[in-house]
Amino acid sequence: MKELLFSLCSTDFIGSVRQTADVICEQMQAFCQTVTTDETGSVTAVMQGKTEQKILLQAHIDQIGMVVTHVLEGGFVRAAKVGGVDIRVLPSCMVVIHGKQKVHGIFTSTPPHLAKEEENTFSGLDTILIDTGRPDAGALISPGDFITFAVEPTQLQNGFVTGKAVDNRAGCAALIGAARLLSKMGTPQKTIVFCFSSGEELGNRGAKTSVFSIDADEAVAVDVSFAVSPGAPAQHCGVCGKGAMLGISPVLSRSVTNRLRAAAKAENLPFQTEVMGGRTSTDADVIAITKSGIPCGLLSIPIRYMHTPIETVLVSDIENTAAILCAFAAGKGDAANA
Amino acid sequence: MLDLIQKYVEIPGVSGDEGAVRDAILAEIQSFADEYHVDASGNLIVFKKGRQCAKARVMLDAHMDEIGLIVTSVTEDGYLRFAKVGGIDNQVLFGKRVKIGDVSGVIGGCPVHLLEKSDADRIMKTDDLFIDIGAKDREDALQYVAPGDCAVFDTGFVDMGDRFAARALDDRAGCAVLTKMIQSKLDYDLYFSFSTGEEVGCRGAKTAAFSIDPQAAIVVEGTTACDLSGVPDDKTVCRLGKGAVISFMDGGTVYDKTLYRNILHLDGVRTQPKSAATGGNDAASIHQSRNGVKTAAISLPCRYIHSGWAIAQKTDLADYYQAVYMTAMRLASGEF
Repeated sequence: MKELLFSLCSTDFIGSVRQTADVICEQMQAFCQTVTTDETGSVTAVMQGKTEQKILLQAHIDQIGMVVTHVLEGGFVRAAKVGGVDIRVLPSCMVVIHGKQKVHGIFTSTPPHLAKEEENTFSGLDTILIDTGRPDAGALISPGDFITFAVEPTQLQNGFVTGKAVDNRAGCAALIGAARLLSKMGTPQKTIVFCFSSGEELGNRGAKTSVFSIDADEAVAVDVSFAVSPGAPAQHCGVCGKGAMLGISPVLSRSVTNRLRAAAKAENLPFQTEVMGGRTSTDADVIAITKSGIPCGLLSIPIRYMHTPIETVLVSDIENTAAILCAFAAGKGDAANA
Repeated sequence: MLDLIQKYVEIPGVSGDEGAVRDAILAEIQSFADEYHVDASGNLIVFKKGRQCAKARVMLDAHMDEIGLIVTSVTEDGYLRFAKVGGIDNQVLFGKRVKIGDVSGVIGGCPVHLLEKSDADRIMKTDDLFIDIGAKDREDALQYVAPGDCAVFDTGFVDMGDRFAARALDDRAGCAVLTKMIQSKLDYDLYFSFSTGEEVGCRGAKTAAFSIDPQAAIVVEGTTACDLSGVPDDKTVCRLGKGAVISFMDGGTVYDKTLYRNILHLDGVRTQPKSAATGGNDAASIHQSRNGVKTAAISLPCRYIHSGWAIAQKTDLADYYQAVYMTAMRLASGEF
């Protein structure tokens, strides 16, 4: 699982940059009869069951980043956010600009002699620029080119992995892990559709279109959520190491949620709950109201430092999420609604 | 020289913890030096004979240490609290990867989504931040790190074409210049100090200058280039691609005016003045040593030296080396 997460987090998926889709297609072809990609870059893989009843397992494939808006003289680049990048990480941050070739750049930081007496706030993308170190950058980069954090995943102690795009490669890894587990159990009763959809960070756009064409009878979305770390309010966070966070919310299906819980209990898998008063800020929000409605549940993998280049996850939480998905898809929780 | 710079910047050496850098320098110079020793402050002091005896005793200084972080304590749940070593701006800390020896960590803080809106762009102080190494709890963390261990930004070296980005160019670039000089044939005898503790108050250079007792000194440094888009000309300090930077005054030193002018007008070398009287370097200690030392500072222009990534230009390296070499020889010959 760790190797899988590393290979997913080493690639980028943002706008027209779609390397991650190749990794996922290659992985899913080992478990599924059909694997297709659509206009938006979303990947859909179908594991044919004994019946045409369809369970959809979904995770978004895209990541946060930036886009070039202006190429200035001297090799400087002005950028805008794509998704909710935490601007506090930008000064002195190394990025890759996906132009005619990959170009490295570093976000400028205010030199001490130019800082105002009491510099208390970050300047944001209106002020800070990317320095490519290449006065001829205009030949390689143009407005519209996408920008990602230049960081390879790395391992911390005790099975933690840190890197960019753990949101939501952790979820993608859980889906692939579930497919691997299910493939060992023979032909499933229901047909299982795995959907890796694009555009979540810009408002659940990929999920809208790719789920529309699937005709699922029920669904589980897999995303990441906040894990507690110093300074973060514990009441709004899960804990790394306690397994998947089972989403409970008025916008989610009680029936699917109950069966996810029952499946986890039946298989003795750890999980924690995340109760929300309304929308979940995940693709589950749009899946649930696709076509005439799809009963949808939500599993979230706890990560630290969301929307930074140091998103940090515990690999065992991804494995446990994959196991719950597998148990659910295999009907291990169905007794809960009997 | 670029190869040597790359080699040196990849070695961590926060102030007070310069040993690994010193070992690497020693390996480069020991077969070329006539005498060397490590003094009580950790400075590596080297003497190299020239073809002729020097008419004045000249000392060249470059500091081995770099800015970084030091672990101050470990929380009950296994996160590391830290202090800054040297002048790091708080704005470059959050979200960066660090190395504490071989142990990887990340500088974490509260996710932006969970902050009050008014705090979402606030620059966090070190008390709001911590290093996460993935430890289970304090006991587990203490297996890998201990209070007093130093951390550096986990950055390295990136080739940008005509320019390059690297950590610790301040002042491994200077260390590379001194190394290359020791490895070359010199016209006159010279003393070299690879100094400790510059970033915490030019401490090593103070004792090195006392023991070398020079009549003239050259501080070989990296300095802030602020030739960024949108910065007015009078605030740029110096520019990449315009050659070695010569100081007339900074926060620690008013330099010898004649010597400054002589270096600025060296034949065949591109030089530029450091057009701001800010910052400081080992000259602050050296020029006040004993009964005073005539001192110059020659620097490589580097953008963003207060962070984990600085950018410098390859063409400046030749001018930088040449300015130091020619100045040293002319001081030693009595010409300057």
